[in-house]
Amino acid sequence: MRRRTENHGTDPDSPVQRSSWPADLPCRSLGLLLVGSQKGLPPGTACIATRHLDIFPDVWEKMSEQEIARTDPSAWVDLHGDALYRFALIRVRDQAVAEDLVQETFLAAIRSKETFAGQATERTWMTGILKNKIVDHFRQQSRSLPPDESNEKAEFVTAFFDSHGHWKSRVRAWSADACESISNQDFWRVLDECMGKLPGGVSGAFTLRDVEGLGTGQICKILDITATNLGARLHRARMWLRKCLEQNWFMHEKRKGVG
Amino acid sequence: MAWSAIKMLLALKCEESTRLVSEALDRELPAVERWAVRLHAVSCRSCRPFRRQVIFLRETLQQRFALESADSNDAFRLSDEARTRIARVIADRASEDSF
Repeated sequence: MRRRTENHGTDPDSPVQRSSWPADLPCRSLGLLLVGSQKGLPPGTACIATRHLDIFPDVWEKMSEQEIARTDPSAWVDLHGDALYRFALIRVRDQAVAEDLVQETFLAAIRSKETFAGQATERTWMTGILKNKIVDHFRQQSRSLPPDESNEKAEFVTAFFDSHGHWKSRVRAWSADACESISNQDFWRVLDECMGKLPGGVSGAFTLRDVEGLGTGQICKILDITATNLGARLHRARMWLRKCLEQNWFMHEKRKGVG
Repeated sequence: MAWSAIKMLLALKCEESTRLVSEALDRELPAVERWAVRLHAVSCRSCRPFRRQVIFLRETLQQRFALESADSNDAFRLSDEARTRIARVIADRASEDSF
């Protein structure tokens, strides 16, 4: 802690000490008081940072925005841990893998601290590192999977259609309030469960494309597959997820409404 | 116009249509395929909602991180065990690096 404040050229006589900040002061007002919303940190974060750095408000206010954004690694788990974990978990859907990715991200961040020039917030910088780690994860996963799942895939999609290529069961429109589902935690739980049932190769391709938004050329390189194979995997993932959501969310809801 | 193009425009099957609808999310379809999907959708009661639902799925997923608030769900928090472990690893590494 001490080393850090010296780095920022703080006057040694300024009241930097183990603080006794009143514990009953609300987090929110403390955060607003110290940082102000224009600094781009949510009040809660500022509060945690302040407590952790053991500094007084006047010192805090002297720090530039850039310095606020660059914190001591020992504060990282509290500052960024949950957000990075959530970011990873949504994509890899495996608790242990997501935890490892967060840890690797922090370690990589320590190694490359100098490269963080402060153009972005610390969070954005770390999220960038994490994104690369996630891509690496899918790359390795793709290497370790059986080379070709395309035969299985052809059958999978065909199963939705009769011998004439028509839908076996009619696709019905989802209720008009489908958009409201996204604010429902249960909706996301169902969607996660559905995505969890996709085979690794399919789910990796789908995540990189529809969650991460990478270009198809890039994904083909990462997963080392052809464009045709990628198209087939994405088709399969979308067919399955649509069906799974329909069965476990939209129809389910409707039934609840009727009953 | 090639026979195959005419056939595609007039006799596209649902199975093929879903493949093209999916592909349209990843690349711009050639005009023939684009029109084939549209013509098919005019007469197919299943492929119309299918297309809307697949697009809904993609848009929803891409907005997810912004939509769900960070503290909305405990399942998305690091466990205490992981928190302690990661903090320890960071502390070890940070102390190696700084001196």
